[in-house]
Amino acid sequence: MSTIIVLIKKELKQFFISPIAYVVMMIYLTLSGFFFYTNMERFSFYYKRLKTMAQYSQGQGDLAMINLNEMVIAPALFNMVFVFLFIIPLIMMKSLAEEQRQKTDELLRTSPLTVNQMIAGKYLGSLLFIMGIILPTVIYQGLLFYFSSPELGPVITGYLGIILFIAAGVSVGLFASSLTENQIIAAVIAFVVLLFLFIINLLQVTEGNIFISVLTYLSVTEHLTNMLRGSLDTRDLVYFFSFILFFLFLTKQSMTAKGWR
Amino acid sequence: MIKVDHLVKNYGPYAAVKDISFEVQPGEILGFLGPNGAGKTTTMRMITGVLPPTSGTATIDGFDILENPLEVKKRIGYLPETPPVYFDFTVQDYLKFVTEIKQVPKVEQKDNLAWAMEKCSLQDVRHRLIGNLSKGFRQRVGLAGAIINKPKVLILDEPTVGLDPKQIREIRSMIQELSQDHTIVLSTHILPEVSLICNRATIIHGGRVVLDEKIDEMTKTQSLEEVFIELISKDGEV
Repeated sequence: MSTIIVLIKKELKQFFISPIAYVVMMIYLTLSGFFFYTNMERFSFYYKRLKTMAQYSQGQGDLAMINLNEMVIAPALFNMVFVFLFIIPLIMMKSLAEEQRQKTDELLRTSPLTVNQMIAGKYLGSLLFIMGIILPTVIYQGLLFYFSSPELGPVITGYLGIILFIAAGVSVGLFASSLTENQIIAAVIAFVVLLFLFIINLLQVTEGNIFISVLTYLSVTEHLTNMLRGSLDTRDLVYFFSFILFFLFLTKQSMTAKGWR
Repeated sequence: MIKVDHLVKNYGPYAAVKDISFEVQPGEILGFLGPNGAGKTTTMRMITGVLPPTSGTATIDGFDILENPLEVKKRIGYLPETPPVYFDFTVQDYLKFVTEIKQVPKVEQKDNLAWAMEKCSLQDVRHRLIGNLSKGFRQRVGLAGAIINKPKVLILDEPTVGLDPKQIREIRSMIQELSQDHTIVLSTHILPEVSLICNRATIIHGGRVVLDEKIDEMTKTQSLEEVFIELISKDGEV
């Protein structure tokens, strides 16, 4: 256990002493702020309009149809996930690839630790770092709660969804990084795998085929949108956990093939 | 202390190490010699657990490298060809990480760190980033990392490369000093270095051991260099 903590500490330290952490955080916060703002603007535009219409029709009218949760929080969270689609491969590309290129893996390989501890350290370290990036976005939600009263449940499941997506993305990134010494290749592999899993549900339009149903089940988006809408289903949790375990298993296979024991 | 038992390593059809066996007694300094591409580094990597051997095994302090890799790794210090240092760490932070990852007991960590830094004369650069240091300093940081857990077995792959003459002398005397309670395997191309500090030499060529003798025996009639050149100018397919 203490070995894993030592590895996590080292990972975090490397993130924070390199400029990458700050650049990525800046990009992420700028984009998520932008998305929050545009969604908010759209909401207030519709809200004002519907309110005027409601005044004329002497009733609630369509005003009851719109709410902050569905028009601001869920789309903004989905946009944040979308940004992670690009950012996770960039953050994860150096993870194992750089160790192999700089030969620092020889230090780790000759230290008394198992390949499982190594993977756990790398994985949890990166996961904590990326989870740290989303922390400031809680402020946006705080603003909404301060000025209005959206439902809390969907916000919580939404954030859980983001965290699960990050956890899945990090496992893909770690696997991609274990395959090669070249960071660019690692980033491209991770990005392609994540993008594929992100868009595969678009096939859904042609229905009735079992193959397509399977592919749709594999789509991250399907499971994520449920959570962003506020429904927490064990099927989605099972999906994410098996996803993560599968890619960590692949990482282990790739590392053992390279002689890690 | 170290017993290497018929190690073989193939990379696809290419055999890097064909069949290597040797033993090192406690307190001995073994010079591990051979021309470029003889399989020295590959052998060392197998002994230290970086690479799994294709067949054969080795035992260190009674522990098999395949069956008990963790116990073996607690007992070895390894300085690879390229020092395994993180360029974005300071010397002190790096060595601290090494003490932790090598599971040096908490109470000894500070002492070991100070000891290793002193041995490799790193005190003046302790707060500098390793990436900004010269090659010689990086080599010394790597060496400090290798000895920091005071391992029973020290395996050094060309430890004096890139050092200036004064440092080479310091490192040599350090190695001799360490041999009092460590067993050392030293790979190098500098033959005088071997005659100076090693008790015994194993010469490998073409992935096999061609000579394994005490230095005194080896150099009875001719110099080490002559012995070496004669052995490796024979056909590679021994």
